[in-house]
Amino acid sequence: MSFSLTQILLVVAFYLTGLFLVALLADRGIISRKITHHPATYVLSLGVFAGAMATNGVIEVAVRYGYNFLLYFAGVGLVFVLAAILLIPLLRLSRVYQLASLADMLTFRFRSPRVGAAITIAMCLAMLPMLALQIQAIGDSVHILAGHDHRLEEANFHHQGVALVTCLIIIVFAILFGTRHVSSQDRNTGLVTAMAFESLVKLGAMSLLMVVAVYQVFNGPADIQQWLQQYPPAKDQMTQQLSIDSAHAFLLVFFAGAVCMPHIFHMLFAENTESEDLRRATWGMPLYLLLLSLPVLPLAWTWMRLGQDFPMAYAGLSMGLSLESTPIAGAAFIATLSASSATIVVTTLALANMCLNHLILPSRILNLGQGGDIYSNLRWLRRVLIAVLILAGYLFYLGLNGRQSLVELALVAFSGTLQFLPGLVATPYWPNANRKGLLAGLWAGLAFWFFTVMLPATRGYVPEIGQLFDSIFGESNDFWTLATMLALAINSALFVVISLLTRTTEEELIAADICSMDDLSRPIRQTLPLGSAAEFADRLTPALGERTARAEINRALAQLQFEDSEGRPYALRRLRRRVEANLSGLLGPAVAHNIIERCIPFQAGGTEDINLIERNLDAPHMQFTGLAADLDALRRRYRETLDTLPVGICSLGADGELLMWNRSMQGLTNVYAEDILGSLLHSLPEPWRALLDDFHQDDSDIILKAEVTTDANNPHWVSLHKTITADGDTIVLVEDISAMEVMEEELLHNERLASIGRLAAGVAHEIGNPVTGIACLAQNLEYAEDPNEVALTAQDILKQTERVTRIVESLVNFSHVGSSAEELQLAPCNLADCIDESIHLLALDREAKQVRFSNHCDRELVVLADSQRLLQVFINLLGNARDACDADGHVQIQAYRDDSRVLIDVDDNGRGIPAALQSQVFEPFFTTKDPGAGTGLGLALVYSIMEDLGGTVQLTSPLQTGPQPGTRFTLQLSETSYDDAFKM
Amino acid sequence: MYINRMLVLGIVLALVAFPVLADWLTSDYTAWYRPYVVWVMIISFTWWAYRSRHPDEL
Repeated sequence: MSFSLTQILLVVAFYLTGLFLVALLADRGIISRKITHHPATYVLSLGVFAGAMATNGVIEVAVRYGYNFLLYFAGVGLVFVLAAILLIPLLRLSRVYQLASLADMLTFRFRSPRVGAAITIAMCLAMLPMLALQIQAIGDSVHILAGHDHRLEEANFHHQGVALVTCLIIIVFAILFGTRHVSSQDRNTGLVTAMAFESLVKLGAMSLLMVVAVYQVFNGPADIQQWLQQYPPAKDQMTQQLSIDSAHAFLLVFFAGAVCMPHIFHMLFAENTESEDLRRATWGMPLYLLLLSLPVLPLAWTWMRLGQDFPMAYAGLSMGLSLESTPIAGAAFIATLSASSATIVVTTLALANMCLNHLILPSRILNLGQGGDIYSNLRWLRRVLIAVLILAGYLFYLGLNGRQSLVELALVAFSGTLQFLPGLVATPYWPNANRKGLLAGLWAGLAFWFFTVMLPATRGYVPEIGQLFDSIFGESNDFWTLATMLALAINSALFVVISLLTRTTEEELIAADICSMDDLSRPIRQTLPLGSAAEFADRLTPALGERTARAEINRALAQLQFEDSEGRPYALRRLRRRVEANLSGLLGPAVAHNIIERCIPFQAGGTEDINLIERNLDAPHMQFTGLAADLDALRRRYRETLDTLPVGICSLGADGELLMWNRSMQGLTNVYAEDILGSLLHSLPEPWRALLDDFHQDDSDIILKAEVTTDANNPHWVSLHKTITADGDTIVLVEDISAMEVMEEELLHNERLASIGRLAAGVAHEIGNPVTGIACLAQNLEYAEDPNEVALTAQDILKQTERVTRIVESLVNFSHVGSSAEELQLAPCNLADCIDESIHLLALDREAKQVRFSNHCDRELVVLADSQRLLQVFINLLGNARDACDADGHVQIQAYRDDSRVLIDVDDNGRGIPAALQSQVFEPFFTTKDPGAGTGLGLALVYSIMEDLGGTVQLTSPLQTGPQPGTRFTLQLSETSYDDAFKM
Repeated sequence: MYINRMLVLGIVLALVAFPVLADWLTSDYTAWYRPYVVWVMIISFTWWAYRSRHPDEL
């Protein structure tokens, strides 16, 4: 039984066209999104790792080494079982920083384009055998199906031609679907779905082969068991043991390959959009591998039972041809074709991205800034690179000329990619690793691998070092294990030693911090010299061209949901980071970093961005254990305390950026932290902007009372305190004292009523005298007949009446003062008259000490004030002065002009006020009088009224030495005149 | 950083028990499916270990 080359080519074309259609339908949304974005689709797409080695090579391993073929599946499966240790940290990094390949990852970590270039070159070299393996599997299958002799070493021109045509079809497919999205951060739905489809096809085909093997070649599982018992060579072969060293080496290379190889890295990280998908893959991928491994043993036993001369790796084909069954032979061929084509497509796609981002773009072959469509240029470059890489794999395959088995080629490729493992493990786990160590270790390990593994396996060249090995380690028939492990040992040793002996740059340490699993990234809060997001595009134009720069900025703005006019420093920093991440997906991290650093540099200096650090700490993935967990719990407790304090707290950077805004501030201002954090102070709405900005600029550390009007009917009063930290940040405490203010006014009112009560006796006495006089005069008037006497008596009565009226007016004035609801009525006010009235009112209190008041004020002095409130100021000041004096006390009031202001000194010769208490005397409820003798509101009221009048009050004490040092209160008010008031 | 302690314990046990396990799997050919049973157990354990974790906390 055989097939013609045309038939085989038609099958290849038919299958790959089917694949093309699946990708097309998925890309256009004709296949439901529920399917294309289902976690199972993602898990199946990871089956791309199972190339021809999984469908063909492992059968050869099973025949030779029995159960040890499972090491291949176990090594890959372990990567997923241990996802928390390696995959999750790497996935987090790749998603945040848009790192789509191993070269991107290590360039980001070691901050050097040279690292990216080295990784790319080394990876291309290591993957050539892997590409050749896939092409060889197709070529050999074609050779067998075409009915040629069983020797594959001298492959003829025809089946090499079919392999070439297959490569060309794969190139078309890879170009059409691999480069649809120019940025590596966009999920390529068509590609993922097509790869999942391929995984299903090869699993289905392999399962079909297993069923045929078990039930057609054998008569069921019982027959297999019986055959094994009766055929000792099979039993012996199945229990063949590898040395522990070889088993460990196998496990290690397959483990490393499953995370380092570019095709699996690409599907794992670049095409992953949901963390949930990776969680399913932790058990889904091992399950898929288990199912894929089930047919291996039955196929191996079938090959042994049928005893054909075909190579072991093609046991499925051999079975189909023996049974002369076209469907079985077709299924075996399709399994090989699907596995190989998937691996070729994704491997070359990933390698093309690496070459573009780390070899072509950094060398500036493509001038990005010179207009043109960058996206189109990048797409075409990627297409050319894909074609070149697939053809390079084909040429490598031709160069081998069928000398190697699939397993030998796979082991060469796997041991080559093992050399990337030290760098990858160091990325999240070793902050002291540096690029010098990485490059030295990598090149040394690769060189050793090249001469001891690559050359002997591919060119038949056995280096003399093999004899040296034998003399050192004794004769060993497992040269591959020794060479592989020695290459890794040399690589790791150099990496560690050189990293420890050489200096790690600051940039590398910062990147290590970001990548580290145990340390928290400590971002620096730096300032950008840009005022708004709109300026970003202008800055990027020289590097990217105007159209591309504009498109990239608009994309980043849309992703962050920012406006073009966005100007908050925090938002601009986020925009810069987003643009760099997007460019990283487009051009690779090295080029993107270079462009951003060149076009949008930060200004020098900066402090740690506490806000961002806290946000990182609060991220759901941050789970600490031990001491770190305790410290984090403590941090959260303090943060909660700060947030729930009934006092508003905000923190400002030296540049005025708002760094903290607790819940009380939110309640007080109705401005939410998420809206304002990271903004400049002047972004705050009025009246808070003016209040906080003035206070921030002001030298004073305290404002005892400030009125804030957000709602005309509901004014707020706040007090502010500030302090400056060692970093230059300003911490501002804002206390809402509205309730206290209302209470204070109520108390003042009560105090006023109490004063009126205290004055009542004096008032009664004062009024009683003139009333008695009026009564006497009225009695006299009854008997008076002389008109002159009547007139004189009437005048006396009028005088007494005026006296009563004046007393009553004064009392009414005093009792009406001070209500906050009253409008302030500023008007010219004669200072001396106001003081006289105050003295007069105080004199009504008969129970008070009778001290001497002297009003020395100029009778012509007129100040701008509300006369009733000014009256209350003097009553309080003079009352306090009287209380401070002894019985022979003397209170003097004098006033003098100072430019347009009037200064009024109220001096007493009382006991004075100690220096320690002077800062508190204007605070409400502070008093030095005996309990019950004073409310402590008098001077607070004076301070408040003087602020309302636009004046000030100052205290000076002592005025002299001795037992009666005295106190002076100096009031300052604006001078005016009645003429000025008239003009107004 | 969060690493499932059971996972770490499993790795240590696997390393220590690897030679014994390899012998046990291949020494007696009475049950060819024995390695697969172990494999299914590992898959079940992995599913159990990751089932309740938030995707970002794996």
